[in-house]
Amino acid sequence: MPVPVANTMSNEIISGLQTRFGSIDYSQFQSLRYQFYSYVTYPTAGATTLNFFGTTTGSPNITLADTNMPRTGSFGQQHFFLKSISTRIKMKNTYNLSLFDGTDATTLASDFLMGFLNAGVLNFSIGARPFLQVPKPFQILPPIAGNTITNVSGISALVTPLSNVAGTLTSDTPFVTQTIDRTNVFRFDPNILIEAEQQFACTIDFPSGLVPVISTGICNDTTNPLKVAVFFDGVLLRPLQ
Amino acid sequence: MTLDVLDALQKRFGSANFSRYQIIRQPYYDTVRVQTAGTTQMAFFTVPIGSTDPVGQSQKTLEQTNLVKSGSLGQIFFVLTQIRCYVGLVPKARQVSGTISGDANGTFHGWSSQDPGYQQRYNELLNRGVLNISFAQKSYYQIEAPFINSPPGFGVQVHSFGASKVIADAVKKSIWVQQDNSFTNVWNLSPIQIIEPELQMGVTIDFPDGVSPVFTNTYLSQAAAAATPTMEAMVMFDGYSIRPQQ
Repeated sequence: MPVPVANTMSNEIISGLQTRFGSIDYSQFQSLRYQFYSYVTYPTAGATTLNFFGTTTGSPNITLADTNMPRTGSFGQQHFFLKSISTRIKMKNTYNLSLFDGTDATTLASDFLMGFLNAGVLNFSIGARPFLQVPKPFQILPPIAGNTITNVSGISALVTPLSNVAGTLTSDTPFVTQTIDRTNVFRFDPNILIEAEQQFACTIDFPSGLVPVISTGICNDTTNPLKVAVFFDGVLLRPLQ
Repeated sequence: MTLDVLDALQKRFGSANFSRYQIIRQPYYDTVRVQTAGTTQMAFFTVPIGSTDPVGQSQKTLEQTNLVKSGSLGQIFFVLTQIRCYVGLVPKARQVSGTISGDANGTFHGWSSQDPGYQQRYNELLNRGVLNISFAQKSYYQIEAPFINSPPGFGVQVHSFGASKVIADAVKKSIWVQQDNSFTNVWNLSPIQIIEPELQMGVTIDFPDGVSPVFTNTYLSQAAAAATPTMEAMVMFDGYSIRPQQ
């Protein structure tokens, strides 16, 4: 049996070198409130699975507007104390006020009322062990904040207004959002500590069938894609420098 | 094959450590299709994942339930803190082919306008029913009008709703009814209720005052004449799952 050579590749040597010459002090940690987020495109044809936190900033066509993940499926050399989880939906040109003609395809509100927000299940696992399964995640895991608009849905088009039995009528554009009440946020209680380098996976799946986008009149996969996101909110613990 | 042997084997070769437990927030939920012809009872937590919904004749997936055993939550302790009841339409793409799913004007074309209109029947459904929950055949909870008094606490925020009509239709009002989407109004349990492993549960929504509202050939919009919508109802137990560590 080989006899280990003392002080060769031992923890003491690494610790000694790190203490004297290292750029990071692993004996002390700094904590700060932090959000990790990951946006993916919801295809107009629908999808069986949307995979979040699977890409990092700097990947092809991925910028800080899409994600701030340092590593694929892990937080790298940092711990993260997960306190809440939320989803978000965004689109560049969400509401084209002149486009709504009364059909479902011409407003994103259709998708909120009868589209993919009524479907799906979020699966969150750490080290392949399930930690959360939630149906209708875009409703049950709403965002922390959002914008609110109050408007009167007046008449935008009225033809042959001679009586109430003939002619055409179209109201102004409807406006529907996810709930934006902070108390609706899904909190992990107790919180979950995701250790450094711990692999996790977060997907939204549609095992009961595809749910295509209804508002195809304003949404498309190239110039005006529908982006959906999962946000992890909590406390980041990183070694001092 | 004594308990000591089993205990030793489990400790050395087992996949779970039953001496240490982990607590996570994990809701348990079950969704059933609504009998659109009316019913006197909806039964929850009886058809587990992978089995066929008796009303919709569709296979249940994780979208409908995370129940793996009929009538129990399996090998976990569960701390029940909230009861949330939801009912609504399935997505348009999963509605009846050729009628609702293909209706280009379905959402904003006077849903409540015709009699019997969907929205008025839906509103009636929200105001009726009694949720009965029993554990080991002993009654624990009876909540009247559960879709109102024990709301889901999730949904969307409708800032303004739209309307449209086509030639030869009468101008109609459009409304959109939805359940309470505020988490603060969810039915909270105080004291909490522990559901032990393998405990048999009975969860039903009963309509002792007559069958639930009939949605068969309900007018959904002016464009699509009478059609039967596909609806689903869900009971969610929110709380904490206590499971052995791995």
